Amino acid sequence: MTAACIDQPVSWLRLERLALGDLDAAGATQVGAHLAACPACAAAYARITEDARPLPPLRVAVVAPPPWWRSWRWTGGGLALAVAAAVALVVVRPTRPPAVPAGAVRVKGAGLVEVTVVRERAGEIRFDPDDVAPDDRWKLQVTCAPGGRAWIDVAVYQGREVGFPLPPQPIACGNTVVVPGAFRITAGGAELCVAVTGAGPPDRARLTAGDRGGVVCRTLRAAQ
Amino acid sequence: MRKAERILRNREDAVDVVQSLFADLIARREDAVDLPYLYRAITNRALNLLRDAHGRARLLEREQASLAPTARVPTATRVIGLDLLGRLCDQLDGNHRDVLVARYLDELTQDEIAELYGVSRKTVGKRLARVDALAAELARGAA
Repeated sequence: MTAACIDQPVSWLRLERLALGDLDAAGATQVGAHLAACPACAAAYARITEDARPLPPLRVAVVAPPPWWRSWRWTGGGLALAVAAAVALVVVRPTRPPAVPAGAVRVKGAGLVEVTVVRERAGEIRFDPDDVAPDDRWKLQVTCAPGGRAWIDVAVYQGREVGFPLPPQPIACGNTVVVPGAFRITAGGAELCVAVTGAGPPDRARLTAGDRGGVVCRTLRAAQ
Repeated sequence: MRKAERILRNREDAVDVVQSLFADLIARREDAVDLPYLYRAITNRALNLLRDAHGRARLLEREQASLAPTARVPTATRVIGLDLLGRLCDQLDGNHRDVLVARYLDELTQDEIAELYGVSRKTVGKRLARVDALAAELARGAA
């Protein structure tokens, strides 16, 4: 698509601002005069005004039942606290580092990093699902303490094949941080593994070799 | 969204880049961002995707010609295809990549680029000269 401007083309940024009504009167008049004389820029402006597409709407998520350690924290918190206090009175033991719940890893620089796998199937969003279909769209969410940083990489194991559908990327920690990029898993069931490291990108050679240190995995069966 | 499409040349990746940006902005409770800020942020995110070898292979596979820039710049200047854009990004630093995208994909004037990135027009001119020279070199190498 090549259409040369009669002079210096009006930039996309300026055209977008005109369409938004964000230009001052003088600027709008100047751009308007150029558009009247320049078919190429007028066509570009028409591309903007005729392209009023919204982003895909956020749909109501179907949330899988929360893991036991989360419901325990809220619903059974009081009882658990009483039991813990009683145990503490009876048994004195050396302290141990807190256990890492399933679906999470502990890494230097980010602390506990919880990984959630998100699947979109025909408009329905499901968190941490168990099955996969070729048309599913997959994304990741990560939760870790604000201020930390972590590197995320995804490996998909299918038989002897391992694929890396997204580039390894650093994220700034926060609550349900969406990892940029989405991917599909074709060819049936798979094991979806998410590697999390603190200092630099995860070692893909180790992942390819099947090393599961610092890795959260989820087995996905092929959807019927 | 249109801006992301001009760089990435496919809608699906453009949607992802834009949505992840807005998700981060919401998480950071930043709601006072203007269009120039969004332009800079989208450029960074889209180029990060393009610079990754795996991401670039996927983008080339999905490239939609209809989403290419309109190339309204005068005929003396060049049209940057996705493959050339990727190779240029491999060899340019972040400042030069920003100027490359602003000039050839967003079709900004040198004054607008200077204002967008808070540098002098002279600096923009120097960076563009470097981009042009490298683009010519890579084009010669490909020929």
